[in-house]
Amino acid sequence: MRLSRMGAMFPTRLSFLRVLTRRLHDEGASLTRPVWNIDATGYGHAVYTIRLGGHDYSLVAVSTHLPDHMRTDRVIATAWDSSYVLYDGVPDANEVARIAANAPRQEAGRFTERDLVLSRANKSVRLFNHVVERLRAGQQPDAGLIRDVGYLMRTTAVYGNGKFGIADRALIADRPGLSGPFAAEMLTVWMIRSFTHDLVEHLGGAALDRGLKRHLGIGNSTGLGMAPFLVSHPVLLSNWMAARETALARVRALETLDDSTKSRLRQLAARAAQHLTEWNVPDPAHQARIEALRKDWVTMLAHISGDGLHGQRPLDALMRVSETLSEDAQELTVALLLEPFGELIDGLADCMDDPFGLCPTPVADTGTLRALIERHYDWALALDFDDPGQTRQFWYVSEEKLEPRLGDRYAEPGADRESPLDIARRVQALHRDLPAQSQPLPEFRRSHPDHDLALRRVLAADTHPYAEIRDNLIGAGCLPVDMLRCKLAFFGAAKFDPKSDRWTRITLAQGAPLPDELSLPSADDWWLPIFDA
Amino acid sequence: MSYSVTEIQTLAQKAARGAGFPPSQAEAFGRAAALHLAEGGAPEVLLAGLATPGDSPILRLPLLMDDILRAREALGNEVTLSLHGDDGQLAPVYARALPLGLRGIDIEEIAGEPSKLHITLDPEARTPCKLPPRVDAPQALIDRLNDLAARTYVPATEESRLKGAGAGLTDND
Repeated sequence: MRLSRMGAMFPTRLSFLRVLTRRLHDEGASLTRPVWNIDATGYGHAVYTIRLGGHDYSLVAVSTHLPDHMRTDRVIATAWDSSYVLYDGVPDANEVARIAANAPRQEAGRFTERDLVLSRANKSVRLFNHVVERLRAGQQPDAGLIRDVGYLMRTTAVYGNGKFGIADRALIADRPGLSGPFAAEMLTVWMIRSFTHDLVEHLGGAALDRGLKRHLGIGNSTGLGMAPFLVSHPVLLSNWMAARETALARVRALETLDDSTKSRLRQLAARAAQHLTEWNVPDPAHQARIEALRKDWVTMLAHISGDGLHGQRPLDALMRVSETLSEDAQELTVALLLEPFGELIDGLADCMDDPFGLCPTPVADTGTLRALIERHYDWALALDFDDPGQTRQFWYVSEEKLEPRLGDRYAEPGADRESPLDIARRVQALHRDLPAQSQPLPEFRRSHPDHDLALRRVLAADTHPYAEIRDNLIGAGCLPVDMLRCKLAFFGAAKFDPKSDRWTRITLAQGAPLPDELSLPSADDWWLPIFDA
Repeated sequence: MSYSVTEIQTLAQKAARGAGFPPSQAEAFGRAAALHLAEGGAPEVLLAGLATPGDSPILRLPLLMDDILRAREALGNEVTLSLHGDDGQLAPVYARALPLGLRGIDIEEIAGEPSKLHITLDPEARTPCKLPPRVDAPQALIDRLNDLAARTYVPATEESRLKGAGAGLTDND
């Protein structure tokens, strides 16, 4: 599992937002809006409630005035256009008042175990204002602008698991519907999307066209803070990847396809092609990648449209075709091949959690440990850490709102406070310090306590094949945005719009069912949405 | 004041790193600290462990936990291990943080000898550690943990603000 491949991933039907909307569909869930206390200028609060897995959850949404000069997607922001709490149950007036007072303060506020998720979002100023103005004028917004932007607001943080006093994930981890990874966070962003729709309709005094509204997802701006999570949760990462790889292996093993499946694959491949034409970004390098992918996809389409689905093990053959193309094309092919096979693979979504954490079984001696390192970390042992390029970057936490950052070890201060994401270097150092003659592991650990982190990683890698990102995360060539894309693709994000190698904007829930569409048979059919308004 | 378990765990982990402990041991201490406080343990025990990075249960107890796992494989579900010095004050919560089914944990004090940790494991269970919804912690402890944790934060500079996270300053598009 290399960074470049992680940085080419697409959402699949195993992505967490898809899993959530399927669950909402299966349960016949219904979103209600018991409170709408928004004034004529668009400020105030609203409450949305939904029942999932036998529990009620409510989104308390707070809309506040934000001067333009304070609007930033950074963690260091101190005010936002809107803020949100996913509440456990249905809040009474006192609880709504408590949340309305605290949510706009975000990290500076204080929350309780009834608050499950904390989030905030800023307007996409150009689209939000345009939509309101058009609705006020009795017109629908410009479809092209909706296609190009794709959301009315973008979240800049979606906090879960105990942050700032909200509930620990362990408290809800066994609840039906919320047991999967980031399920509460996905429920929150899907509900926030509804609030953004309602807010523009309230301000515009008219209803949005249903097709336009469905194409308005919820944006997100993600920075470096997301990357260390993948490194510090090796078992979880392995479980995500193992589910995906198992799903792929299952479909590749299919001996033949029936006509309806072939037809479905062709339809989806054509949809992917249109999605690619609608995916345009300002960054020239990334736009060039998209354009190269469009060309590669023409090759894939030719195989899918022609005889490519007729032979034995046709999907395995299709993957082999993709292996002659770019990693972007390979990853898009993976996502395509999984899409028609829900009955075969959707159950794997239940295997993507990690209720126990990293607890590797210790080995007896350093000789066994050496063998494990050489088996699983040959890529790390091959790195030359005397080369300054291999240690150029260091990860750190800034004292400024504890924002995760990345520095140049040879040009900036702070490397002495480096966050321990240098896994390859640590494993290599452990290997170097192992005694020539094998000795009991406890004896070695007592004399080398600094190697415990590397030791645990090695033991984890022996039982979790996708636990480790097999790249040097402190090398000059490490692009954090690759890690961000991987995690965001697992969330279900699309339309990746990198703003640098350290942060990206994305769109979530674009094309996802609107609340009153959850019961439709087509509610799950929104992989790589296209603009059909 | 009450906190989420994760808040205490994360803060204690950072504090241990700030105090000079290696990251893996700091992580284990974070989990143990939250459980210790949740069970009404004395905050002084945590501070004492953090005060001596060269000779601390924070270094020794992760080794003991591996001993438990090894002893379980070798000896079965009744495990007895000797403890170093005052490690008995934190050893039970380290053991409870293991994803094992525990039927019982007991510390046996023996005059003139090292105390002993007795554990009875449930062979059928592999359960995540049960955590309370809230943990109470005195402000003095939180302040000390924050002081230690701050040693892991890099002072902010204008350059790091602009380059470090790579984002623009305003996003009015």
